Amino acid sequence: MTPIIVKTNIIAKDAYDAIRQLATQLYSLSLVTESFIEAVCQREKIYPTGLPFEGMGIAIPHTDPEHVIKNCFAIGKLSKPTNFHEMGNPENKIPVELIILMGINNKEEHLPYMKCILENMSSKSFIYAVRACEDSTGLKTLFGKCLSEDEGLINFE
Amino acid sequence: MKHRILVACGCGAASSTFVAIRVAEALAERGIDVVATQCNLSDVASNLEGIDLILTTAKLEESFNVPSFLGVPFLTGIGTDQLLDQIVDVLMKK
Repeated sequence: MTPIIVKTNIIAKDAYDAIRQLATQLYSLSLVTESFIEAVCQREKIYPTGLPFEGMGIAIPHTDPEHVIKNCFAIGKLSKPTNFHEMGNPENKIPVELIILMGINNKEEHLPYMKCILENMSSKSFIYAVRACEDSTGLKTLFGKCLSEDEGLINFE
Repeated sequence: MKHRILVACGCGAASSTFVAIRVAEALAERGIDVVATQCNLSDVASNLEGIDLILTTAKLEESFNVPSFLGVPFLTGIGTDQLLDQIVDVLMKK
């Protein structure tokens, strides 16, 4: 079971503020170390993770396994699009609406979740559904559907 | 004959694994056999033995004798066909 936190209507002054809010939640649940919070921000500055999916910008910030206690995710929907730098093209900015903060401790365990999320994000109807989510219940339902098929129950914090 | 692709990312974890699997699958669909290995961006130079092509999910600051491309289309699904065409082009020349 991989713990997944879901949060909507995130108000953040910039990308790093948004990341910190989500990372702090993971830390408060003892899923990551305190160093994780800044480590993700630092990594995002050097190797940005903004991804321009068709219809919505998302970001997949993460950092080294040494800061992660247990494989986990924090999925956050921003109240308004916030600029992240583009993965592989750091001078370019992408307006991001959804952050998938990943706590990766075990690559093999983590991969199926990441695969499922990325595959879903390639679907326009999924993106419309994400945009239409007004609260975390809606977002939980959406992601719960795509993640829990073979995995059994996923614990939403 | 198996071609060898090196996939590099900023911290050798999530994105490079995903890209490695995707590129191998996509090329297999086109009848091309590849072995995709991963490393950190900082270790590319020391992992180039026998490598035909490099894919990265972050900007490569150095240039090497081996052709390199950004592998991000394999994450977003946008522009994958064009990228695959370019990759096939390079591999077929070897």
